[in-house]
Amino acid sequence: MKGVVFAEFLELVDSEFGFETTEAIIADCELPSGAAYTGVGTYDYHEILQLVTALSKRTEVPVPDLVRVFGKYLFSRLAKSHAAQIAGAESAFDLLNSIEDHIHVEVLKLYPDAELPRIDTESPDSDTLSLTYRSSRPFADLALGLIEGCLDHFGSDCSIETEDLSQGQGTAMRFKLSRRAA
Amino acid sequence: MTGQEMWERRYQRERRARELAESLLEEKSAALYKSNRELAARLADIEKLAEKERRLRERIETQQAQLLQNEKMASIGQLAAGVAHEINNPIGFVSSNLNSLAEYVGDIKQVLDAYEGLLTDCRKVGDLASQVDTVERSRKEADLEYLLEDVGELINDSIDGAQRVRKIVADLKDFSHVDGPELAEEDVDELLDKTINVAWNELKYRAEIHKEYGAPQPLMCNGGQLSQVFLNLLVNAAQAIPEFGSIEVRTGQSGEQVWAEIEDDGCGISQQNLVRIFDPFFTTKAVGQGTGLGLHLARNIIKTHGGRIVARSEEGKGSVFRVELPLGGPSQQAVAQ
Repeated sequence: MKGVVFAEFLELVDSEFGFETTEAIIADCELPSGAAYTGVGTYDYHEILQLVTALSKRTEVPVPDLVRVFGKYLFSRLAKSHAAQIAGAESAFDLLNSIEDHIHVEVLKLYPDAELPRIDTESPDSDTLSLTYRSSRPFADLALGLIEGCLDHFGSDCSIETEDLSQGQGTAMRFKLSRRAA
Repeated sequence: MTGQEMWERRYQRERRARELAESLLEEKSAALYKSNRELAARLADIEKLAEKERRLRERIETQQAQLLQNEKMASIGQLAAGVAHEINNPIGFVSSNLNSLAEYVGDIKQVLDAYEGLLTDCRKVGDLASQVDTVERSRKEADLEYLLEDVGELINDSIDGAQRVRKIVADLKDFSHVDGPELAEEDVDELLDKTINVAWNELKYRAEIHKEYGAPQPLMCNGGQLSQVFLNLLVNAAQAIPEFGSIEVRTGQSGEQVWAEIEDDGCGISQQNLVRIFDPFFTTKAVGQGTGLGLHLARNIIKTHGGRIVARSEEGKGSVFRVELPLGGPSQQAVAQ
């Protein structure tokens, strides 16, 4: 997993729970990287799972909720650092539809060894989008948070129904997004 | 953990992260430099290949030009006997006329000498009768009236004959000229006339030529190459006629296209052969009469000019070959092909 995700996670913990909490969870985890994350580096995704679990223990907020909140925050940060790319999309559905065939293609150009989830989308009608997340890693909640962040960014009011496709493993999930009538 | 310790840890972490980032950037730069060098090397290879291909293309073009020239010389070879006959005929009567003129000049000189004698004696005012008789005799013997009448005719015929020879030689010279890639404005009707003139001996015993020229606008083309195409079509037409027939030569313009048609009422081509006539080395002529390259090269020439050549034929009734060419000459695309 790219270092930018770890760095943003620690930023979020800093701003939401304070520097002390950040340092405490790092100390709890005894991470191989020592949490010296750089955006251009690549790290074992288990480290972020350790950090979230430690944060959950200390804050008593369930792991899925923390990961989802982090997803929303991560989207807002990525939208800032990749404003030009995001500006190319006309709507949240437009951006979500372009993940597999555009965004992931561009990511692989920069990081050929990146291991990306597979995102399949389907639009039965203009107000509905079905997005299926499949990964070797258990980040379905992160995907949900990222989707919510995306909807917020475009001011799109949608309901999200989820369908677990991996028996609680968090590696496969279908999200059905439906636009709410204005 | 004290505040001091916390900041100390953060600082250490940031430093390690920065060092890692720098080392990653260095690795990335080295990798980029390496791929850059590999790309430059591949580019050089590609350029070398392109250069090789360019040379190969040049060689093919040269060979194609040589092939065209060989075919042209072969057709001239086939026509040579006819052209020699065409030249021989006027040269024969020009030479005979000159012999007659030489004799006539001798006779005229005798008459003039007699007149000179008469004038000398007149000055002495003696008996002039014998001198006048001498002059009359000399004049009758020479048949001066006939000589003077015939001299004019002989000279006119000779001038005409010499001009015919000059024209045949000039047309033949134009025809056998090694073609460069130059394009020039050419009058298709004129090109056809010149070609008919060069091939006249091949045509006149086989067919009556009917021209129906539509005086199209001058065309940007390689005149030598087009003459080669017309020669091929005319000679083929003549050879397709078993005894004596007719060849229609028509030209015209349709929008931005100039066309020329050569139609014969000869034996025609079977449908089976019609699809193969433009194939290289395809010929139905006897060994030694045709190379099987004529129509193939004709089609190549027309294609290079951005035009097309089509044939329709009915066995036992005859064939029509139609050449269509763009008025503005070949486009760049056609030249490249």
